[in-house]
Amino acid sequence: MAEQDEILTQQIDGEYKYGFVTDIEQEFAEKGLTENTVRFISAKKNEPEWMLNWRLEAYRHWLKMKQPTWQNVTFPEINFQDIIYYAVAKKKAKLNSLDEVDPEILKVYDKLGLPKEEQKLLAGVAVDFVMDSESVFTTFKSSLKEKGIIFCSIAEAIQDHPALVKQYLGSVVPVRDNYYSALNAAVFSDGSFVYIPKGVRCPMELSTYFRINAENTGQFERTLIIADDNSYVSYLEGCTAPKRDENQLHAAVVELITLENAEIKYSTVQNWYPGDKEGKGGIYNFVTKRGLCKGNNSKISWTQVETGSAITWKYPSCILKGDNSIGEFYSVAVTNNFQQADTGTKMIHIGKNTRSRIVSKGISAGKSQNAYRGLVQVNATAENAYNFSQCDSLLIGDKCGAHTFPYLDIKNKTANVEHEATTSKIGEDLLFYCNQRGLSTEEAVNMIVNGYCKEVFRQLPMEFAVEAQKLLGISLEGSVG
Amino acid sequence: MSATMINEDFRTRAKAFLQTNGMPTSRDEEWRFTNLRKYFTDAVAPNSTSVELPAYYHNCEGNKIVLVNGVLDAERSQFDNTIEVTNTHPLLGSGIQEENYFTALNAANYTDALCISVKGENQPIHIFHIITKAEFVFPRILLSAKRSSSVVVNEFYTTSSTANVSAVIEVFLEENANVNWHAIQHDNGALNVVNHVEAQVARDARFQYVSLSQNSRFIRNTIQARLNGENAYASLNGFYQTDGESLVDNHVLIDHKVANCESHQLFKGLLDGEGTGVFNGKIMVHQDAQKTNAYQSSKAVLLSETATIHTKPQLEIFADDVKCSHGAAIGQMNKNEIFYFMARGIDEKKAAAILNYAYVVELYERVSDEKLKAYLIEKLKKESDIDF
Repeated sequence: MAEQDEILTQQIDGEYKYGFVTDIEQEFAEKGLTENTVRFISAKKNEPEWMLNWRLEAYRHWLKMKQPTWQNVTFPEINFQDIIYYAVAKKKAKLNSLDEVDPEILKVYDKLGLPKEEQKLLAGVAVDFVMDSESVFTTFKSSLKEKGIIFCSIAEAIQDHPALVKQYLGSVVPVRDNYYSALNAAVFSDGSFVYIPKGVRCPMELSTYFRINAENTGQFERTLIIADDNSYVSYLEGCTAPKRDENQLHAAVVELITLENAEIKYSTVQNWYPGDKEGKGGIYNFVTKRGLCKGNNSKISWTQVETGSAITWKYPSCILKGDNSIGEFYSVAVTNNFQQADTGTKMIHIGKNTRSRIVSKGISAGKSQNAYRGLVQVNATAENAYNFSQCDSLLIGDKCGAHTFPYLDIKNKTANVEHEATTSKIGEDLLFYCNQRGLSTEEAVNMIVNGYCKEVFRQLPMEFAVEAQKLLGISLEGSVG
Repeated sequence: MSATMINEDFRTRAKAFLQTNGMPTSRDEEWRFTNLRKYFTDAVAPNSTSVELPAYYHNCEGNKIVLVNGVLDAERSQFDNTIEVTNTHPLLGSGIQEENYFTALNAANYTDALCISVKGENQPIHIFHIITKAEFVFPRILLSAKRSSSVVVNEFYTTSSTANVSAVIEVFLEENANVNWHAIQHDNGALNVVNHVEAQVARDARFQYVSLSQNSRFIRNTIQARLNGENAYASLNGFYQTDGESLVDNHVLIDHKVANCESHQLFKGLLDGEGTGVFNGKIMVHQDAQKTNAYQSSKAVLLSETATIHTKPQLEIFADDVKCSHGAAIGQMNKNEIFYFMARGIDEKKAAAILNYAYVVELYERVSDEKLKAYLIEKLKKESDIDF
């Protein structure tokens, strides 16, 4: 009995497993944000003048903007002068094998559950590891190079492929798009750049592990993925962050562009520090993600599993400009304790015969608030547009909230738009059935919730799907019984 | 009837509200898709000051109340002594939980309130709004349904030319009361109306509302049912049709405050010309409102290239043991169904007319006053050229 109690206590008190801090020497920018900060970052990156001007334009515009307040989340006002906008790991040698890697970083890998032997083999996954704001590690680069695929940090891309960056950076999420995207454009320190040439199918899943390190460093990642005609790429983004008491801001921008017949599949597993049980600390995840199906017959698919962060606020969207293009959004958002999530998608139908599909599963437990907010817009030009949306909410406990704010704006009579939403709790009969067969209530809830989310998990690459299921279990620990 | 006596308290509050709040703009979330200024700018002088009462006035039985520009026309009104009609009521103004620009505008400006109290079973009450002037008109209606009473209210609008109306209707349902309210918003295409209906529903009471919004220029219905006692029930329904430049905006709220209540919403739109439809349906379930069942369905059919629909079905849920769902569908008439008709020798036009009729009549059938229902369906059949 005592042993059981102990296990139970461990389960209930299951704390954030990845809350650790790595001591690596860092180089910081001065705290706060002025025009000089922007110039400092740009100079550190050795950026060309057009890039600096682009940043400065964003910064000046940002100064004129106001923080949005329409979202269904509450948090203390962010002091943008209390953030260090640039921190970089000092050790920066280019490495060919793991032996040359800083042992501190290898320890991080271990804690992240990435055995070093496996890294090279890990089912063909090339890992562009972002340690704070700087890319420090890239593998499999050579085999990608053979195919002509460019997979590098955005800073490198600015140096080596300025034409591509100039053409596409800010083309989907313009500098002036919103408060946080303007901020990101001004101060982004690094991120990933992918270019898949015409007719190439990327042979492996590209993946970047983001990690927020160093106290008080907001991360401003910038990701740009371009899939040229007839190409395909699957990109994974996974996140864990060390335990912190102070809220940390993360305002990334992700831009995807697909040209004719191209497809991008973008998967995210987000497990940043959600704050403790009293709602103290945790990451603010304010991200702008948007894809443009520029060419005909192109496809963009977003899949996200959001279990972490104190506040998750993002809407991965698709602009379906090319005829016959397809947009998809699959999401599982889990909130527990005092977490808040306001997430969903926008599907903007512009081209003819465009199709979109939205599957959103929200799970709220503890004292959390979970909102789905989505827009399906069919413009007058979008003949025969089709959309199906399903957004379901599951409530565990009577102190949490579930909200849906779907907007359907239709301006074409040939559009076919269907939207369904349900809110319910886990049926007592289901739990009873599981209990009867020897499963504890917690196991039963875990199983039922996993089944509930299956439709989304199925969209994830295999390794991610496994991780996602485990995360779901960890996130819901202590929410029942 | 007692002498005019206006509750100055809530009027003063409303005036204070108007001091700090202007007419809403599209920046206001509740008015995002509804540009008021487009419709409320040109006050055209009326063609004639005498407006004929609608044909149904002469056909209907029961209590008839005529409001000319929001003021009771005692001559043409006739009602049983079982219902009590006054121009003030202690509850007046207290049924509005959240003041907004138009409730305040009404409270600050209305000249005569129609307050009706009912007990037991009642004959239907027909309210005829006659609008004869171009300036804003402020009808204010209060219905107090006493314990275990039952009543049907049918509301009609008739105007001479461009009419600007801001109406506020407060409904109080005591325990086990049953109110069926039908707003027949059929007009000659010149009516601009902002209609605020708010029902306070007590334990075991049932509130049903059906709005049929057609042939108007601008209609904004804000329909709110607040379920304050256990086992309360609300069913809010509406059909809306737009053509030309007209706009119909239905903002519906069901506020589940306590446990074991049930609510239903069904709204259907038929949008033609450059018409715009807006539907915003919100189900709010408070933390104490366990065992809530709430359902909402919204459908819209676009008939022209230039028609627009904005739909926002919204759920806000703070209790876990609930069953809530909403569905929204936007599309056009099913081509397979038309083909089926045509394969049986019915031409395309007729087939479309029958399908349209079938789509619309579902809402007409929710009218619980049998006589009114028959009258409206007959009219609908004529308009849609259906002969069965």
